[in-house]
Amino acid sequence: MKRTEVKSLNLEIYSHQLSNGLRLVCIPRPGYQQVYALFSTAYGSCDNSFRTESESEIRKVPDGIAHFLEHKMFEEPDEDVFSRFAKYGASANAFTTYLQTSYLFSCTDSVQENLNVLLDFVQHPYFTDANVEKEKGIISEEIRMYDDHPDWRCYSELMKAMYEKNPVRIDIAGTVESIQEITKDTLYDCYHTFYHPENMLLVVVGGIDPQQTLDWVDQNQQKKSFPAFSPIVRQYPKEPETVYQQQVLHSLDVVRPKCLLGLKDFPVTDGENMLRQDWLTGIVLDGLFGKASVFYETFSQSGLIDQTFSWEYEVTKNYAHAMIGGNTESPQELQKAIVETIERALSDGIEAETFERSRKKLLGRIYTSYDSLASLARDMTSYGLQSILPFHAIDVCSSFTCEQAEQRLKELYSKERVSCSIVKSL
Amino acid sequence: MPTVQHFGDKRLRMHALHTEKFYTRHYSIKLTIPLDAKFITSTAVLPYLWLEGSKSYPSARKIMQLIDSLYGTVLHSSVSKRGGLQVVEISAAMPYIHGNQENRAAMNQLEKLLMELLMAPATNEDGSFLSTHVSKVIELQKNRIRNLHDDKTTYAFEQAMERASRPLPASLPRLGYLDELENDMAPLLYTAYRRLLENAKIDIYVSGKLYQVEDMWIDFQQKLESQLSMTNFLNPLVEPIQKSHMENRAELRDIEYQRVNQAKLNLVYCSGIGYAHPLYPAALVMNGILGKFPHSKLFVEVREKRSLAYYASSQYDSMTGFVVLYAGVQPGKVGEARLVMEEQVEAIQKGKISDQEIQFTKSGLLNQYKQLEDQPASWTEIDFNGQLTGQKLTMEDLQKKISDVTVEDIKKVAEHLVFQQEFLLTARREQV
Repeated sequence: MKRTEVKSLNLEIYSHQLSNGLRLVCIPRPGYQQVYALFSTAYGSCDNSFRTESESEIRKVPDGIAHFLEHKMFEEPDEDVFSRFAKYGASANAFTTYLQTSYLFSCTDSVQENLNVLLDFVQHPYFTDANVEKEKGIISEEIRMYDDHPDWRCYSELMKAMYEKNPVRIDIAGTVESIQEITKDTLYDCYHTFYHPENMLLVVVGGIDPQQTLDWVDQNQQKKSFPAFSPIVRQYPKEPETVYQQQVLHSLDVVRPKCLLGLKDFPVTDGENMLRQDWLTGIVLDGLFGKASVFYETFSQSGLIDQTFSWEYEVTKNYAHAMIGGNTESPQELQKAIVETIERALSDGIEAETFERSRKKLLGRIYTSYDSLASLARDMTSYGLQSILPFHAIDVCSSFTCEQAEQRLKELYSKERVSCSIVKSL
Repeated sequence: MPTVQHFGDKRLRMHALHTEKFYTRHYSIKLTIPLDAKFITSTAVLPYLWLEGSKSYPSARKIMQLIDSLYGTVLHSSVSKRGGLQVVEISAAMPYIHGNQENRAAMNQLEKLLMELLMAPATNEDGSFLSTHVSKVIELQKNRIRNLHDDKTTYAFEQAMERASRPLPASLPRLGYLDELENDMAPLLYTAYRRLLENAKIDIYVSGKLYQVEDMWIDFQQKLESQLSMTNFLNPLVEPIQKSHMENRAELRDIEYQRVNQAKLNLVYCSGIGYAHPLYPAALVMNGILGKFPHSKLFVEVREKRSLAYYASSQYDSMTGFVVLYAGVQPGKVGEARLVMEEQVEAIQKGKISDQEIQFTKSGLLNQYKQLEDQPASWTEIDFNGQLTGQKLTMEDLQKKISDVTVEDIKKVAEHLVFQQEFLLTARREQV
């Protein structure tokens, strides 16, 4: 196995690609009882138009199918997957994002058995007309649950406003209508395209011996055969740089209105630059809108914002954006205050002291997040699927300058790339 | 499990878990006092007021600037309920940066800050709280209470629990009453603050890489004992709500209408079994079989077999002894879901429990308890439950007791269950 030492975190990362193409990453955390495994495919809700290199026609599949597939993978002809994990004391789950689908377990015993259950169920699809129909009711309820959730609605309406053509504008679970089009055949079709070991990554972290883990995984994979992998060609429509809609307004049965401002940014294809952009933008936004900022002090005192106010930033190869906002009685006023704060920073610059404090803060937050094996594995997976090793971020972070932060803010903000999503009371 | 060191025995106690494996050092100071309708609202404001300013750091921004410069230490304060008790808490999580010379000094600075936030809040010369701080936290607290309404799942769950406990103190709202929050309540807040300091039991939890734990204890002890009496304090223990509580109340089914896509159905059962009860381990297993796990009866019967819900679970609260069954279902299918949920309780009461259900549930619970060693926050909560109930179970004891639970024990727990309260949040028929 290839061993990479991350001195700053006192971590060792072991990686290996098996003969069938599956990539394995092991990160031992000495002293941990828990083992957390995340088995993922580079297939998310955005992958709804694709072909393999051996095909000529692009296939368009129903919205929400990657997430639907995630639900259906837990079905087996004999024994329910959850029961198989329960037998070995593991707790299991799965999730789908715009770019990946992941299956996971955490356990303290019987690691080999649980790894076998994980690999076997994800590598054994079992779809029938009846079990596909049954799932439509469950997923419809999941969609309805999110529809009632004001934070989620505000976020998802903002995505629709910012993006005109990029499939990130479509909810990960699809809609109650779109999932009705899903059949067992479309599920098998997507499964066989995206669930090839060559397109997958297994991350195992916690109280493990990396070599032993590799032996177990290899033993499991040796028993299975897979057809030759045909690389996937994903079709993403060209997305304009500017936002689709500058403002969207929705009404829900809520007491407190919500306002979320989205700054549409430029995706980054190169891994090292992606990390730099991710971190540097985080430092900028924390300095402007974090709890130690002038903005936070001024507007929490005036009552414009409350403790729900926050920011987040996401950058991938396909999309990038910042989101800033929270609950407020005056959405328009909050929108104006956020924009004015950004414009003031553009003209006055970022204070060196603020920059330094935010940099220290982000550095520390990386450390604390990696005490959670789930965060460690998820970070490793989301970057790993994009062929990036995230841990160098600590060294990258130390090299940033205040001028680079100011330059980043200039790139991030442009009036034509700002959308606002408001959820108001009925 | 590494050894937990306990210091102090009466009013002030410190519990320390030393481990080298974390990047984070956790602190939590918990002040516990009986819930009292007269002080519920004012006491619930205090933890948020503390973060508005202290003697040396007179504004929230000054505190946050310090905290951020301590490598992004997370500072948090909250108020919660444990049965009939109110717990006011201030906590911090500080990164331990590998090889950094500043670690030790930063930790001392944080410990000093925590004590100051608690014991020396920013005040006027006459000792009263600053009016700017008070008016700000009052507005924020009003928003915090209003925000509760908008998370439908949590709102419905909390409503069910509160209504099931009426008229006991456990039914008082966690964040207090909106209409009692007034801008001129600074004097009342000060009274509540003194009352809390003078009467509460204080538990300090620390975990992570600890240097000289005894010195830390002596330091905390000196700072607190120099200002507080250690002899006069309330020493409440949590008792589960008993079925006799129900004798004076009719079975209640409450319904609230909102414009929602999904109904939230919550059914509360009273078990009378709390953390200190001999059947507590069996109650954990019973709840696991009923609705805690994906192999549980509720998940399988409500979700998997009938597609009635995305989530259908149960939660056992060892402080009140309540078992709450809850599911998010289509408004038109509430009746069917309720029937299936009630049938699952009856099935366990009749002993319809397979060996496999027991084995899977025990394995799942044991896995969770073993993982606690990797999760300082969860470890703290379990230990604190023991402090509140006077029943100090070690993790090893609890795991052994869970392993020994029999089908008869589970049936016995289920037989204790008495339906107490339904709370349904749903849409009106014409809105569906």
